[in-house]
Amino acid sequence: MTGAEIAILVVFLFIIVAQVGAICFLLFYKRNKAKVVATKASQTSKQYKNPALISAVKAVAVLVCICLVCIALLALCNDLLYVTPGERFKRVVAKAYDFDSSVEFEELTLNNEFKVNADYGEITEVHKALDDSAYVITAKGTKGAFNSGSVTILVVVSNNAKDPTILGWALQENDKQTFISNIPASVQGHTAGTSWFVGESITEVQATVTPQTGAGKGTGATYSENAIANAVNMASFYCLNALGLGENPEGDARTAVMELLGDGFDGYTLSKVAFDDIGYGEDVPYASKVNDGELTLSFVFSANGANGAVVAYVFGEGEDIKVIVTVNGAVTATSQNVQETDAIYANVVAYPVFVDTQAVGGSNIPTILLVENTDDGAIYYVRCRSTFTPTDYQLKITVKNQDGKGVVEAIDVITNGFAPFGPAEEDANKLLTTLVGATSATVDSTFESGKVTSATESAKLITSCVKAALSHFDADHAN
Amino acid sequence: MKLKRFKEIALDGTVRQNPTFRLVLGTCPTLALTTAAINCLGMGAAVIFVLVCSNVIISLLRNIIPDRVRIPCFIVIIATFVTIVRLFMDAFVPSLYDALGVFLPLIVVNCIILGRAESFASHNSVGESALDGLFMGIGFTLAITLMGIVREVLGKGELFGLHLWNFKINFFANSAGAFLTFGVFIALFNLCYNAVERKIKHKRAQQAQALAEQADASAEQTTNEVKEA
Repeated sequence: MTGAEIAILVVFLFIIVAQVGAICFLLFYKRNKAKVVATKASQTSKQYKNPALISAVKAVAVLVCICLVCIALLALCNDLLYVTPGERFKRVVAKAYDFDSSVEFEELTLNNEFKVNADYGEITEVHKALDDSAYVITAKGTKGAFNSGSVTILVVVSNNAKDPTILGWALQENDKQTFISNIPASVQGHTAGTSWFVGESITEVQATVTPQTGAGKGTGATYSENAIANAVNMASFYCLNALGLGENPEGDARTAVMELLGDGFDGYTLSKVAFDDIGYGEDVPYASKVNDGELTLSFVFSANGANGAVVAYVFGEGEDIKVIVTVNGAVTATSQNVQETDAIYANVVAYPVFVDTQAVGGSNIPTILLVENTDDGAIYYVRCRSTFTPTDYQLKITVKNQDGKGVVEAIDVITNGFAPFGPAEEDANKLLTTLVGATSATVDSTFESGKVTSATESAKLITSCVKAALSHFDADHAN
Repeated sequence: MKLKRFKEIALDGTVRQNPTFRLVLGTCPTLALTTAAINCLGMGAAVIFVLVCSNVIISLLRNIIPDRVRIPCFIVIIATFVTIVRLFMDAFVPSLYDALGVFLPLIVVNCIILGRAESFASHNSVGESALDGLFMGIGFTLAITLMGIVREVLGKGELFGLHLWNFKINFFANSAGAFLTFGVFIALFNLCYNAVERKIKHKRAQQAQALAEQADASAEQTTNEVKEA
């Protein structure tokens, strides 16, 4: 507070005191005037003195005066001892990392696209050391915090384009973290060996802190630890995506795919397809099918929108990535280093991922993992999951072409969710033979007749898989 | 001021009316902050400053402040000095400011300060009030620092932040350990105090008896001399 502000405050308070005094005086005057009318006029001068009222006014006046003096004193002290936000920031930075005292910081404009992440939290400020040595990121961890609160920390990340590491960190503030005092000062800062996260690459830190599992550091403040870990993850997420630090293969792949798609697909949001959802069998991942001996499949992305269903295949990492983009099952674009004669091109055409049925994880929704065309039909690898036991069925269904319609020739179980030797598994397996010979028209009635008590869920999953394979075959051969 | 009065005030503040162990005042910071001895010294310094300053001001204004508003006036004065201490610590000793946390502003409602303002400063001269504040503060500081040393050594294996050994009993770093340590200290302090007081009384009684005997003897001697004369 400046001297002028203090003066204004004092004048303001003086006006208030004057008003209070005036009110007191008026009350005093009216009260005594009534008495004057009632008594003799000669006695009035003495009766104005009301000892109790005077005492009360004096008490209030003394209290107000003391308050005024105290306010003035505090205003002066505040003016002299005020700690600026910049100084406070430097203090926390000093706790996090041992910068040279001459280093100044420049606040950077936040990238709105990456400043919030639902899994971690948000970035509130980013500063760059003017000696180009590091970034200081103020990150708020919200996920996993105690009592739905948050923990705000400062993370110092080295300004190393290839392998940025965490140099130090320190707590700045918290919200509703009752046990935050359990986080000792020794685990903050920049001391290798004792300080958490220090020396870890920001591309690896997300794997090592495992915040979602609640893998605590043993301080007794597990929720606050989760929030701290998420704040660190948030900082690393921002560094990777907004500051362009470190290697970010997934980000690079997404950028490459979006560039190939062009302007018409601006509104599309690419979802990463987990390999677990596009493989079949435990030891035969789909990715191994699609390689040219050197480059293996790195990412599969899918997206849906007005221009159709997009599936993008990204092979390799770094600057040599090869990208093949399909729209509605047809290859529409490839990166310049991909030729139609390449093995990966042929494999993508031969083994497309059926992302449009990728709702695995939902109950009883089948996913066609792979289709291998044969001379007289096709072999389908289909997966269906359930929220009940058995939770997962993967079947190899051989479909034979009979006058343009599919007929089930054989069904083999690749995996199922049964515990070994479960009695219901035997019952469920009866359905595998019952469904042989079924067509799209008859599969529902076969399900009804072949349903076996105590294997109802298996029957549903198997039938769903068979129906998916037959309907796909029929649609594929309709023309 | 006479030397005797000075001694009385000093002894009252540090021993006879020790705010922590004899009057059991200011228990909140005593229990909460004694996990580290250095925090106790910081808290003690803050309390000494507030006690001395508030005692001086209250003593100066004791004839001006009306009786009916004395408590609000005391609180305003104390709160002002506590705020000054907070601002000062925040500006110059931020680590201690962070360590003391909420207990620093809570000095406003510390019973020691309000108690001394009410019972001593508002009835005595400025010099005596200043001395009372000083020695009461010293008594409080010594008491909590002693507790802090014991709890830090036993609970963390450290002393003033310096690592001593790996042996530690976590119990003493917890709340339950604080209560136990506090209770033991009160018991020991009062035991020693009572023993010393008894000894002093006994010594005084002996001295009085010797004086009485001496007086009797001299009286008898005087009587004999009179008789002989």
